[in-house]
Amino acid sequence: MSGRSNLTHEDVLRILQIVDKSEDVEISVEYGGLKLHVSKGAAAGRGAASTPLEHALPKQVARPLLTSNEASDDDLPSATSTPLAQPTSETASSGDAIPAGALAIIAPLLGRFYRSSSPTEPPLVEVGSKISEDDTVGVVEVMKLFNEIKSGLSGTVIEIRAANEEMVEEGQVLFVVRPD
Amino acid sequence: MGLRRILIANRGEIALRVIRACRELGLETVQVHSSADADSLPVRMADSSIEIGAPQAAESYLKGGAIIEAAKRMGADAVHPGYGFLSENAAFSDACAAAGIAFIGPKGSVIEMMGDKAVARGLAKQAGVPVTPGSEGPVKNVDEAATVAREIGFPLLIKASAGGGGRGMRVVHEEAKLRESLESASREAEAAFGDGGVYIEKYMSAVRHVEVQIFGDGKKTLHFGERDCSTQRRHQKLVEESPSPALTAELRNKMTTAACALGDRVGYEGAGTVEFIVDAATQEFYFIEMNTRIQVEHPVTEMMTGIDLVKRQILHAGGEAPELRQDEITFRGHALECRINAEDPNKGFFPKPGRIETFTMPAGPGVRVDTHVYPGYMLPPYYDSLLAKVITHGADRSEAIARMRRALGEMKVDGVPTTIGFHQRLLDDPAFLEGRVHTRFIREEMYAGHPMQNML
Repeated sequence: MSGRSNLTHEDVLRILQIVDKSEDVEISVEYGGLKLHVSKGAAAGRGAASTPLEHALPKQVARPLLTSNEASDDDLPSATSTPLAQPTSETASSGDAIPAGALAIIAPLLGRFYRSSSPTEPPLVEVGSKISEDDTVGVVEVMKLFNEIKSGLSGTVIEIRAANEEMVEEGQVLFVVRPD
Repeated sequence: MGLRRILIANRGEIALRVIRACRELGLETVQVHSSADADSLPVRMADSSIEIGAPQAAESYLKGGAIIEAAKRMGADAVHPGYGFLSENAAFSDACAAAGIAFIGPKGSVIEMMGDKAVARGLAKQAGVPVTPGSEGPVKNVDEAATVAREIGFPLLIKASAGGGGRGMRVVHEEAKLRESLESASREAEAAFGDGGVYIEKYMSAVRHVEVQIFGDGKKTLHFGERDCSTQRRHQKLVEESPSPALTAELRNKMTTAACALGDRVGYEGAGTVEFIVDAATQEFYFIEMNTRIQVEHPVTEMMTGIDLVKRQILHAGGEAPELRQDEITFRGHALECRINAEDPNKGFFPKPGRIETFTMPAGPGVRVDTHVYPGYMLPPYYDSLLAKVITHGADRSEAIARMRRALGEMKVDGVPTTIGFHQRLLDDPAFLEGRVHTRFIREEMYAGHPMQNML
């Protein structure tokens, strides 16, 4: 092995043997002049933004994606119970400010926003609609997969900020809701 | 009347595949593209390109009129539709012909017959091809449905006649639910396809999906063997292989004969695929549908037979396909394809667009990669999540699998999640190795108990 590293050939072999015996691992070791990167199983090819350990995910489609990758991977249990709604102060980057006392329902992912569940159905909600936590308020489609957006809060819709069939960014405000 | 300039009415890896075939044939290429694909590899590789509309497929790749206009303007004498988009659009096929442009695929009337599932089923029956027990055609009312149901038994499947992609489809387990399911399936079919016709067939569980590649010249249909595509999620294939590990020689012979009989029955022209479900236990097979286009997984067949199906499609359209007899099509070894999608298998195979930062492709003996991705490529959110198809060929199944394991280990993709890890796991799964997977294996066995199992 390289003289600049204290890791011996045997050490590396041992690491690889451990990897070989486990499922779904990804390790990166940087030690002196040595860089070792191994991934296997479900941990392989997960993309740079992900951390190797996978946590249990909830059943809902939209929920796991409601926060950024970093947040959802690091602390999924709390992320899963976080409503889609964001307090006013945290949505400053998403365009116009949210009126005091109101909450926003944000796009859980980048994609095309639909206000109804099928082209022949009326919009799921309108301004003035009363919504409760489990209501589906819209659909976001990405790469041919349709994801229902759950309200995550109860209240009255006071503003709809995205047009039907508009492309929306992850985190973009879709609905402004006055909570009950 | 050979062709000179081919317009490619598709995108992604299949567009590149067609460009490569054209280049080998010495034909010029015109690549149409949406504004989102201006930087794509097919656009760069084609001899010329033309933008036809906005990113959404409905505003570009599905606009038949704009594509025909582009073909005229660019002097193309043929259009290759690839798969998806307009490839099985009867009106588009006919509109090309009317404009004096060769559509590389069957004529509209054949596409239309096969596109209507109830009609295709009827044609299959006439050709002596087994179909799942069920109604003769669309059921008229709930009484007729109940009569059919009593004959074939529960569970049964209600399917939209004009359908596809699971719309207007219902599994019914008991007679009490029949009326309700029938009505909702019909409503859904009406909304999705403008045709509320539904028919009924026996619902089969734990079956394999095996399809036969055919190629017809309008008079005689040849087969190019089968592909086993049983490894699926959300009814979409992830792995395809040939030969199928589940078929006896006798069953293979019956299925390929049946597929050719159906092709002959409609005077099929060009490449097509006849899909069947196979009950491995009883060695029974049933017709599901026919796809009148080149398939994603066609390289598996090309690796097995050494015949370039895309070039043959183009040559046939120009009236220049070389003569071929069934006994000249021979099969060598075993081929396997893994679809590398930008999806996270641990999150219900959820797709994710984004910039591909690293993209290292496998190579070496027996490995073929069909991809349109390059390092730095921005995978757009508008289309499907397919990044690459890795195909391996070996002297036998175990060599093909060993090569695939080796190839996937060489491959590196950063920037988006991929299905590489899933495939590595599958290739170590005893069920797959022993050829025991069925179409619901991923959902019901491999991801049994997974929190996002219901997405699969």
